[in-house]
Amino acid sequence: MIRDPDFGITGYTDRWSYRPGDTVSLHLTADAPSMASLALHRFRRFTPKDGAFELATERVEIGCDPFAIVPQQTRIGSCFEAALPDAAGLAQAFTLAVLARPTSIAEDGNGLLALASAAGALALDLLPGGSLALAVDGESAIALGGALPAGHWRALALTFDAARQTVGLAVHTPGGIRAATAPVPAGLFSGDLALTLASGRAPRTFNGRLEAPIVWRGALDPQEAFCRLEAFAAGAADLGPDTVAAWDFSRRMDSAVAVDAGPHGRDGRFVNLPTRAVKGARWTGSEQSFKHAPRDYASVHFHEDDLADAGWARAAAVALPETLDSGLYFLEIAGEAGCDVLPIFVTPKRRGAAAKLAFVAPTFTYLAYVNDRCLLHGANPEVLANRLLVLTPGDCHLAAHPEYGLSLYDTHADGAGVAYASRRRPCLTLRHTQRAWQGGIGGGLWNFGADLLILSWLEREGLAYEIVTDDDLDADPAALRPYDCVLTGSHPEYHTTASHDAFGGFLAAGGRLVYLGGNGFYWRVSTHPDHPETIELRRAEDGNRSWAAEPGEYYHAFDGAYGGLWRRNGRPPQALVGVGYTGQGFFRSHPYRYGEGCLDPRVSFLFEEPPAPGERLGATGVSGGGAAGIEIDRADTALGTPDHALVIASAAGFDDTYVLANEEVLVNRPTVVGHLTPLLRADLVFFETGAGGAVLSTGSVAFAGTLGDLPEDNDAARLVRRAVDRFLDPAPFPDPEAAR
Amino acid sequence: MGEADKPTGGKARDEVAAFLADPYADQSPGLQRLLFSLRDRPAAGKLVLVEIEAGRRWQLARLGGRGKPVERLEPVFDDLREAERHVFRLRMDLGMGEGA
Repeated sequence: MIRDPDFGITGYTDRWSYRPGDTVSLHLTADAPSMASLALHRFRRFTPKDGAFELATERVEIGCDPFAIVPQQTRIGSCFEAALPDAAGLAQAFTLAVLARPTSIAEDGNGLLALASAAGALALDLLPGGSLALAVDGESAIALGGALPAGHWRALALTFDAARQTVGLAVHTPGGIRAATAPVPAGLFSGDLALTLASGRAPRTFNGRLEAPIVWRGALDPQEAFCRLEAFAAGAADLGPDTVAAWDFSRRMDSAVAVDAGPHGRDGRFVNLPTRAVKGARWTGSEQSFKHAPRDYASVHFHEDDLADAGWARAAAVALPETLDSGLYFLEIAGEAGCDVLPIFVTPKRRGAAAKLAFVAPTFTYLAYVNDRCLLHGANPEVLANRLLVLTPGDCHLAAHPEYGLSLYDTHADGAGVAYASRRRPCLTLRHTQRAWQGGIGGGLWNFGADLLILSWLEREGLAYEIVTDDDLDADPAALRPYDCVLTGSHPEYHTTASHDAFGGFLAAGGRLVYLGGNGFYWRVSTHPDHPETIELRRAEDGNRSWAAEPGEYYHAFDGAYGGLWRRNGRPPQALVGVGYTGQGFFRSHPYRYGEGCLDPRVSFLFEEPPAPGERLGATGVSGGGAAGIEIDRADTALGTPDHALVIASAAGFDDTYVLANEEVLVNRPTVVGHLTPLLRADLVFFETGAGGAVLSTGSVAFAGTLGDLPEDNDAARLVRRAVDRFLDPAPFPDPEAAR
Repeated sequence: MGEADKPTGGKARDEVAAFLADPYADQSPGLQRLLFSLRDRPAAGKLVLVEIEAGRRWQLARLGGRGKPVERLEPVFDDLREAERHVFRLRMDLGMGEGA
């Protein structure tokens, strides 16, 4: 019996996907030092029981001694760091200049920069109203009221002169240069200097954009510093012999390294992944991609709530047995402080060796939703849920811990959309106990929780299967080739180019796919070369968006890809799986009704006896009460559904809490809801691929809630079982040309 | 909610009664509009439920907003429909359904 997480202990693993023999690194915290033990369990069943769900697992012996858990701190907020060696001569005199545009300023201020040596330090903070406050060794030295207001680019210059024992601060404002100086103690700096940008003395880091930071030896006149800063920002190659470092944020956009364009190669680094490929001070709108106009995108957007790596110490490491079967496992960490339960996916050592059936765990979608706070402070979803929001203990723990970061559905404190999501932090929504308003009335299962029902069905049916994750597909687009049949999760919404290619390549090679979800293959994401546990999303141009990427910022920094909907990238979901997202409602689901397509001999393998058109399919379920609902897809030949595809069944006539997808609306109109638009329907579709393979698509997030429902024998589950049996049969499906 | 949408008199009583009879029923267009109006409010300060026993017991709570913890309130419910009725009455008493 596995315990439910109570978050007295909270943790994360270094990855979500492992192979037998891999070592899992556990990063854990508790309110006070304590001892804990670890148990590994294999998932077996997840069944509705008395209004809740019962998790059945099988314990796997791993022999792990009790270990200590020490309270951990999370460093949230992004910044830039660089080391400036003693040899640079900065302890005598220097000038630092940078372009800055704050986007919001906290009541208790935000740090803007800091310089520290073994002897002393100075820090510059931004205070409400755009006031700048410079402190030397913790003592206030200079204040410039209103010099750097939110929403405006300004050039700043900081000068230090040991001989004159002064520090100066200057800001180039529309009204002219505002400057002030203050005395500093002798020997303020000595030895190496550590420079930090976007972080100072204030408890929060900077919200806003910085561009073209440059350091020269010597205390320059502010006017000269601003002229030379402008030349650097414009791309001047000759930065002058006194240049100590000049970081060009337009270079290596796919990296956490900040390239020094100066003569000494003193590269800096970005901490906690601030957003890159954003418009800089020079952007005019003439170009939309950093690849076409690097100087227009030489800016970086820092946020006080960026988090790429919580950086917790490793509390324990566990080597997974070499003989472990592929499957879903849980790491149960329990001790006197409490309990946490972390899921991990174990993929096979050699794909296809133990089973020809694979379930693709949609890890990119899970990651996009990690620590979704929309129900806590974002776009209020009660009106979408059409019922009171019900928070889990995990949601309450998340609310109490803002330092665990945001999801791709949230906005930053300054209102900017969250474009990056990382797994190197507590991911509280990835728990078997998590429920969500999106899950519909009833079970409230969503994403990982709903996919437990699919895995539970596989276990119940006794079907041998292996697990492949989105991460595997991203690393190896041929990862699905060893399988005859592949099942998706309930909501495989987010894909990289490579993971999308993996599905397309699998089908082109004759594979058989059961798409068991809705709103799949919708958003494009990218992975980061230096931070593989992170994905990037730009909510560009169109689609259901909880925030919108700024104009001019639709291209991914991680790989230069044009972000947004796959539909806007020439890959509408209908072209891959026959159906594509058409709308959503999060209250009630409905049964499908069979259409004439169910009588076609091409789909006779799905039925013992063909149903009569008009008969219902999937009239029960724990996700809204039916198999069709929540996020739904429709067939549409104009968007790529093959002409020969058969619509076996459809659900229509949804209530007015269902709304048509944004991308279907050109001129908004009052008929975009419920039964008033014929586009709001879920289509259950079958088609042959032409390579001997075939696709069955349910077009409904709620379908998993019926697959895993009790009684165990239900019509939707029977239909999928027959499809899987046929899809595992090597006999090729006929060429669709012959089907016409 | 616009002036024309405000339920008045017997119509208002009918809609309140319909919701209290079954909060999860398919509601009339008028009642559904009233519910949208009641629910489409800023998150900070909003009444929600916290599940304290899976599928069995829920506690009334209030959202604190960005970076703020959830405030637990009374009462505790063992029926989600009863919780819906309770919050509906609170909101109606505050005049939220009248475009306040």
